Amino acid sequence: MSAGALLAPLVCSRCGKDLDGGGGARIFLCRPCGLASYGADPAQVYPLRYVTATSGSGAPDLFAPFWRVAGEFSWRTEDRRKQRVYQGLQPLGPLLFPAFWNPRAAYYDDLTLLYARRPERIALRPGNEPLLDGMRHPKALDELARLAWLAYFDRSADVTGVEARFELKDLVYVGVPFFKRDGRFEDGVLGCKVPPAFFSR
Amino acid sequence: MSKPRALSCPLCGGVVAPPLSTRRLVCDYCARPLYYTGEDFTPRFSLLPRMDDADHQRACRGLLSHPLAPADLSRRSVLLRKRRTYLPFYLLTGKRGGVLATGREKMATRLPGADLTPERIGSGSIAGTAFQQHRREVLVEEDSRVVVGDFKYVYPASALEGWDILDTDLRDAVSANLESAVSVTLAELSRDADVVDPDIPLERIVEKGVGAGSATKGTMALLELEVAVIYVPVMVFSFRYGRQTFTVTLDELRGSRLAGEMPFRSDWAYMLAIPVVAGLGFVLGNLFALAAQVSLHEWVVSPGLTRAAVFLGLIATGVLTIGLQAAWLLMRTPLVVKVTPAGPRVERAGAPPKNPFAPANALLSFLVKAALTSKRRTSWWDT
Repeated sequence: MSAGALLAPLVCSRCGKDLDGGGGARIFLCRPCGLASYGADPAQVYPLRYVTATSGSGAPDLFAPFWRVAGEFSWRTEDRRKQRVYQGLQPLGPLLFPAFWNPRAAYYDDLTLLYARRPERIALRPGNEPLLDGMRHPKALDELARLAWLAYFDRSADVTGVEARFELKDLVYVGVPFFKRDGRFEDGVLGCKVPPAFFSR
Repeated sequence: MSKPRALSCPLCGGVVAPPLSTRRLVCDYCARPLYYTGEDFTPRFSLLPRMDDADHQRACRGLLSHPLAPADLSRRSVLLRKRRTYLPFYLLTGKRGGVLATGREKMATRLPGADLTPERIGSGSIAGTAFQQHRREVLVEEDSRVVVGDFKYVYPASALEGWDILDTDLRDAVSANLESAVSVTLAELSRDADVVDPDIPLERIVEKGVGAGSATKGTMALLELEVAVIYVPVMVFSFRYGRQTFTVTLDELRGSRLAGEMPFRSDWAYMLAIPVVAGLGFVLGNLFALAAQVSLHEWVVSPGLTRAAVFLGLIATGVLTIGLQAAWLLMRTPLVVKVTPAGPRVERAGAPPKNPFAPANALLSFLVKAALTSKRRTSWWDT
């Protein structure tokens, strides 16, 4: 590889304007077009949206980037008891996986499941607010979504012998609002509290 | 692949320096933002020091006035250099996931010739059978567990042996303080501190650390892997004490002592050696006083007294040899106070001096052997 090919211009593949992103970002934004792209690859462009704050008052203190993964989860099992149990489960909504770097990554899954169980609270809108730097590559999101669904199923009935696949239909880069309350952060969707270290800028 | 020394801007052709801390660059010529796509890039973060000057002084004062150090160490030591140094660690974070086939143990009652399929366990036909025919067994039922787990590993990115630091000490500190990690550039770090470069290949760390972890999990797949370098601040103090110089390193995350060496308070050795020598003098003096009470004629003519004299002579020689050697070693062995996270401890700084008592040891050994063998045959002094 030549040295020149190691550098790519950070410009929007649609409008040609400079992309927006902090020093640690791998996901860059074109504000006028409302798009996000991973690296400088024009082939990987995703819509940029913001989640409307439904809890908390005033303007959010920060917006954290998440990948909103929507798709079709299908499963198959011969076990009739499991079929009945899975069919009785509340279907999950779109899965939101954090796209920012976080040293305490264990909180990811909690929020992902909580948001997925309350999809009616995730209303998207266009926006222009600053976002934390996004880093997570979207390539593993479909497998993450498949496993998140399976884990949800496994809480009710063992998934041994259950075949499952997840077909990714829609991927959106979303900013989730957070408010600072008493030294902690609280999301503007469900009011979930996270420590300040959740966001390592 | 080695890193390119210079890159060219794809927009204007201007020369661009390779990135150090972030993938995002700005061309100095056309001022357009650029993105470094090379795989060899690793973001850098730093942990913030939690000690100020007063904390440094307090920690050093506590060390220099330690009972194991010379009494005048804190008064006579001159601070030669105080310099913050950042030690590099790899932080490997990511996700590993999969469906793990795990067994679920279940106690079951086996009947002779009974069907032990899980559906039959605890059924009415089993419950109605006579007690004597029951046999408790552990059955393993098929079970799966969906695991989408985050992992976080911290490994030293530079060989710390030269620093005399146990990496586990700092790895724990790094893990516990990741909350305070901030994005940094090498230029920022090196402004008022030394920065140690990572010199352990990342490939080896990934292979040994993350790869090994994946293998042990069976079907777990590595879904994501992010690598970052975390710089950890330590404060290195260099002191001069007389003709000696010594260094002490403090962990600035926890405010604890990390490594270093201090002079040993050698008067402890003398204070221990003096009673040993005094004790020897006392024992030997009493032995000689005892011997002086008996006349020379009696010593010669009485076999019992002769034996006693030989026995006392052996004891005296043994006590003298061992005691003098202990005193000699205490006084002449180079000792230092090693600073460790667990606290200062005394260690040998070098090989002990050549033993001047070797001839006495040989003589004593010969005499002891002779005395032991004499029990099995007639003693030479009896013949």
